[in-house]
Amino acid sequence: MLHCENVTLRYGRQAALEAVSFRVAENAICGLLGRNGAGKTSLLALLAAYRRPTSGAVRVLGADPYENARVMPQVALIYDKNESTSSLTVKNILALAAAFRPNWDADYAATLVKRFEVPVKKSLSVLSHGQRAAVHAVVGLAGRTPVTLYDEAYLGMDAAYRKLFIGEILADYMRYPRTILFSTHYIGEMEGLFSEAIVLDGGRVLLHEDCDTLRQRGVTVTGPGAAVDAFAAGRRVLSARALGGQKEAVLYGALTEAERATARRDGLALSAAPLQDLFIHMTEKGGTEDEA
Amino acid sequence: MKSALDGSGPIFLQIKESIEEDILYGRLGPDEQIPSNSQLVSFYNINPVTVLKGVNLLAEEGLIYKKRGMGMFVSPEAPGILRKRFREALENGQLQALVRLAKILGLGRQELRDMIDKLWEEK
Repeated sequence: MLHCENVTLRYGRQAALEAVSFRVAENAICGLLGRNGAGKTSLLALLAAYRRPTSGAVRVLGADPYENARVMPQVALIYDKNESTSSLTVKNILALAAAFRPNWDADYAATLVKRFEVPVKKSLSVLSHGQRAAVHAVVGLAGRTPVTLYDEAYLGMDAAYRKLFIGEILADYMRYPRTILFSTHYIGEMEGLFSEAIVLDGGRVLLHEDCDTLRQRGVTVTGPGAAVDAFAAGRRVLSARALGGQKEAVLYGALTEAERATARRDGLALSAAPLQDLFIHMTEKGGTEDEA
Repeated sequence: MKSALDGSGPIFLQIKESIEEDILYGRLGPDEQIPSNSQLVSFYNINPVTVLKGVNLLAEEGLIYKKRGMGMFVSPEAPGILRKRFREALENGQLQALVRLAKILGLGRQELRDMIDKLWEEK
């Protein structure tokens, strides 16, 4: 469905993506995680055929998407465009989307516009950042493209809008499954949306796996400070905080059953590591060693 | 059904545990239909694959069964299976923690028993 084989993209001498290979199956909802400059936007631009790779092969729906009249209408890239000076109205934008999207659902678009409380007759220039983001979300949702790419598409939305947006992505996905790649660094709030995630770092794929496996790469240990310190000794500590005599530490690396039993016997509580902590750790420059 | 998944385990396990709790407390009775996958997806705002993983696990453990074309239902054995499992957890988990805390607080065996008796009478 989405497939990159040894893809490199250079802007002049600067490499934005370096030897990127991955495959996302049909109808997966995949998170694209990475810090600023990791290459998320470049990768999405390649998949949406906004650019061509310097080398390597990009395949979308089984073909090279670049200037491909069959593939391009099936792919939408939704991103945070700067439209603060645009004189187009919301109505204009929706009409344009309807003209280019074979699966466009005008009724659904109208429902969404109401739900997001977007004033249709106003021009984009007078909308708030959050309302413009909502217009983009409507275009992405109602377009029902088999491949929908969201690049930080929630920027500007408040928490209520983001929740509505994620809810609509899932609800419409249940009715019309499609392949979604969604870049974000709001990991905590979005992680339930994804079945799998690709983590980019410095233009390379750091890992690509399902979110539950990813979360099991770390563990949160809570208990008396001394017991937590003893248990954490020799392990990599991603983050730690203390309150009175109690301590909570996020450790990297999966635990064996025996280690879990030991921890419980010592009065320690175990839970999964927050994806956000794991992500920060994995993409940290030069990573810090154990300092519990 | 829990109003939100706020635990810290894998999300598919939280889904599973939330349904198990509903069965244990009798909010879902034997042969009663559990919420559909799409209801769970929209209620908790989580990926359908994750929901499916949790629901499949319940089926594997014999807690729910499938009626073709209708959905998933609580199996008649489910309450018994869960009572046994939660009883074990009570003995090995909660009670152990309770006794440990009582010792730290310097409570005597009888004092702890009296506290339990008092609470028992209230309900």
